[in-house]
Amino acid sequence: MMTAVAWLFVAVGLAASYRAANAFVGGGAAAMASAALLLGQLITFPLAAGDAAIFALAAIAIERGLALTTAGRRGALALLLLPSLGPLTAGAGWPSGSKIIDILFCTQHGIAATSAVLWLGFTGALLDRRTTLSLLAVVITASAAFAPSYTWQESVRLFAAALPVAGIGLGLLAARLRDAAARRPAWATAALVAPLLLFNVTLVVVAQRGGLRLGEPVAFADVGAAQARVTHDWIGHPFSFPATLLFRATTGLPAARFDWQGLSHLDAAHPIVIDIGDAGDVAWIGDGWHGPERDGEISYRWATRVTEIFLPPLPPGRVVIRLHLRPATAPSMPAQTVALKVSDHATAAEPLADDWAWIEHETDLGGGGQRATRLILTFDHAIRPAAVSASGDQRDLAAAIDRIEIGVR
Amino acid sequence: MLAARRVLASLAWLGLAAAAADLIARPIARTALFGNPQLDQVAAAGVLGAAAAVSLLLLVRGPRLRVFTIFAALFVAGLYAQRLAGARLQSDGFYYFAYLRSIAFDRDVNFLNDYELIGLGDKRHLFTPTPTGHAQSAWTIGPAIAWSPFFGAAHLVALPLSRTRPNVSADGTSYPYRQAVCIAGLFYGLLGSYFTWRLSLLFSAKRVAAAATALAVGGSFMLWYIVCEPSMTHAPAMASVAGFAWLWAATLWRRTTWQWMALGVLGGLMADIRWQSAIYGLLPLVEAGTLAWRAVRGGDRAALRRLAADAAAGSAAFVAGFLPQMLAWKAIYGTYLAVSPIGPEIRFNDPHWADVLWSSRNGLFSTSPILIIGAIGLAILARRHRAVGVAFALSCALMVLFNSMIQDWWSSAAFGGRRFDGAVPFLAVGVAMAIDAGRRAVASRPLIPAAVLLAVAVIWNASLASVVRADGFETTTPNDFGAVAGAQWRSLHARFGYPFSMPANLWFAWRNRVSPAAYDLLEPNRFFNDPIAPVGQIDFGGPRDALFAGEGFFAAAVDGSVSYRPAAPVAEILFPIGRTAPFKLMLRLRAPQIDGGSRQHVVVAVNGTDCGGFTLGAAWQTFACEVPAGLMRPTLNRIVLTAARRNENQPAFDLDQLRVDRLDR
Repeated sequence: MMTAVAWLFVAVGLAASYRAANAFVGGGAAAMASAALLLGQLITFPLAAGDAAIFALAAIAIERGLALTTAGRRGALALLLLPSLGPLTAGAGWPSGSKIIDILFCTQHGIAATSAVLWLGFTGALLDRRTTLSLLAVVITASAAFAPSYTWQESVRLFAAALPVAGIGLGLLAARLRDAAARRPAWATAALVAPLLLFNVTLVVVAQRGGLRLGEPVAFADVGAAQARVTHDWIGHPFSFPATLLFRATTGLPAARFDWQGLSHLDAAHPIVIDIGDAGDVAWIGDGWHGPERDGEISYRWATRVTEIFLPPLPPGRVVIRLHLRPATAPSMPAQTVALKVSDHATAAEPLADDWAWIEHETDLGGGGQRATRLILTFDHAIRPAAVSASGDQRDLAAAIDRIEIGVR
Repeated sequence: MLAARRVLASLAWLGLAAAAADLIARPIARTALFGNPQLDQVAAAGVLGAAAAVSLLLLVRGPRLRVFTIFAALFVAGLYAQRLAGARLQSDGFYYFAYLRSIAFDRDVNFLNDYELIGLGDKRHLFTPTPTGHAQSAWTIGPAIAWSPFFGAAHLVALPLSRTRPNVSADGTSYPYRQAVCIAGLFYGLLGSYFTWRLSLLFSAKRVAAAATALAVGGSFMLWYIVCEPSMTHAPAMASVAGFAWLWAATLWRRTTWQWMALGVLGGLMADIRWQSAIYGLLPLVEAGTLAWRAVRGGDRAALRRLAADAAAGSAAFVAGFLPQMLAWKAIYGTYLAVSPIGPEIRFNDPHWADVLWSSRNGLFSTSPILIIGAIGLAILARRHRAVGVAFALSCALMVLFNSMIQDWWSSAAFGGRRFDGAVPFLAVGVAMAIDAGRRAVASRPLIPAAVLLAVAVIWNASLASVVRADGFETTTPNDFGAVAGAQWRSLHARFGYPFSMPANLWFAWRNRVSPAAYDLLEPNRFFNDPIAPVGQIDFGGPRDALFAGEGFFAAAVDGSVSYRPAAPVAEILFPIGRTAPFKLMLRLRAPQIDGGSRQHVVVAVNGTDCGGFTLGAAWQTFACEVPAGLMRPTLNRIVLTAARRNENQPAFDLDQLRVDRLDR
């Protein structure tokens, strides 16, 4: 019953969105936009009945608001801003710039980052002053209602009222592209084919890195995934743009690192836990690491003398850094020590036990906290097993690191 | 203002030249103009070259100078990319290099000493004496001819270096010579691109031709053979075919005798570089045939005589152009036309035309999908310029057929369909025609690009939803979209297969009732694909058995030295084959160990037809049955093993090996 009601609301909302887009850009672009919204968003990520009702009401308000623009400015403005009340049904707080970036572009919460259709729709909405206004109002109230502890599903719900704006935005974008293509059809055609050039360049890079074994039958599932990884390494996640660009400009880190290091959800209840040696650790580690290994149940990597870990922004105040590690030892070598450095905040070198053990450091980051940064571990020395034993291992090994945890008190 | 522009342009040219000099000096002389002389520390040269190139593109005027500037900038960009890719003499490049060194320093084509000097001493099959006592060579002389100016320049660098550096010898083997051929590869790749552009220009607008050339060369395997492996023959081969095709098309129907001769010489050189490129000699044959037909129909004896004279002159010129290879063969094998015994066989009765186009093992279209657009475009070309389109399409089709008959139709350890190097210029024309047709379609329906963009966005969302459902997306922590994007692609691939192997994978899927994704690995791993292979074997429990283990197998296990898979009461083996024959099917089995190895009875069925039943004991035993010809089809076959005694969720028997012997060999 609830599903039927939800779809009824969706149908009403979609019809209103189509009507609004049709008034803006004409039937073809509006129909295409509505189809994309329906197939890519409303069917793919179905709404609950309550959210569908918000979507329908927001769509009617925006459609009426856009229609009224010439007749009554104040009424139109009120109707265009009305959907922004939608997110407030989930709660209320204070909006902020970082929360806006979080709720739009974060790889966990970001509504635009997790929906190509909405990213394009929001981009299109920026092409018109009135849809921009409506979108901004929803984004601001959504960020006010948002908490970093929200799951992805909870964040998505906040944007039910923005879906009609995205629908109209898709229409605006389609119309803009239509006009550009009509002016320069050859360029438009070449642009449609050009991704095949990117395909080949990434294939070359994957082959260079050994992901495509020359002359062997290959599973294109694996090769394509490797190509996706290469593309991501270069440009980051496209639907987190422009936050990725801002991240690149302000931190100097590659745009791809925005996924993990762009935003922090660190609080007392949610420490950052990095399981070194686990499949996902490549998102965190920088220079100074060897390949993943296992010691019984423990997955770890050997670190060289100076080792780098990328961290997301850290909050102001005291941050606790915990490491589970085991130093490389040799009879002729002195005891191993490690010193930690988070941006400009360094700790004194601390001796390490000979076996797996936790060490803990507390650092005061002051009032401003830290932007995305690096944690640098500097060990006293590294050992080359081949030089101190019968081992053939030529690697420089300082310590095996299993786990890194960052928390706040 | 004009003077300032000239000064700025001169400075930019200087900058571009300095960047080129640095990028050439690093590999050739192991020295640098800027910064760290390490081979790959080329950031400074890259920045300088990029700045100079951008400046020049803004400053230079005049179409010819602009074209020259673009190619000069591409040359510097190519040098930069070669350094990052670590381009060096490798693979087949050594064999072509042996020709060059031997001719330059020994004045012969006996490579006995050259193979040793350049590190091929361990390949003993090369040293089996030919009828004339020479070393073997299945490779052509043409690349050596093309590389010779670069090799000569390298000699001028090596001579002074050899006096000061102990690791540089001036005998044609040290790094200045080896790296010079990489730069030659880049040069010929760009020369080929230039002629490809000129060829496309005959049928399309300037910018469309430029876009098509960039897409066809940069979007195909040629990119690899210009940047990463430039010492192969493919860049000069493409250049020679592009030059030949351009000269042919530019002088079509109105060629003078001298032009026929020039075309002949160029055709000969083209065959010197890669002898199968002689197939493109079909172009003037089609033209001559058409002219002859017209002359005969019109009763124009004078035209017929003129054509005969031109054709004779062109043919003589072709022989003259091909003479270097003929003389080399005469010296090596004692005959002017020879087939080396160490080259791959040409199997005229075993073409793999579908594999050579769509296989995951270097299929032309599957690895260079831009060429699909080119192939479609050739059909459009044939509609607009019938003779040219038909000649291009025919020659490309013949090349497909020829390459599909080569023993290693997948081109060995290649990147993509490298043996189609000569087809790239034709397919670039096809890309130009497709863009032109696309331009018309977009002009009349300008919503098409928006529709494509929105469709891609919808597919992206749908694939993300699929990944969320499969727990590939964390809803409570941030996600690495490098991994999520890979998972999205995997989900699409699992459902629809690889789009650039269509329609072959769809046909495979329909025929065998599997996902189109299965085509990637099952089709190129068919047993008996090679007509002389007598045996097909699957080692269960081994590293590659997962491909063939269908429903009903447990995880691999090891017992002593035997790796195997425990199997459920009904277990299915996927057995793809390339050709049918009467077979003997052998299975190494034992009863399950879990209940003490008590006896088990297993029935074997091939594609639903019972082939026998066996009683298994506790020890490994091999059981055999015969499969008549035709029962196993030349595609995917299902061998189903059904056990009589069943225990819920327990292994019913263990399978170590499946071996299938051809009985007709």
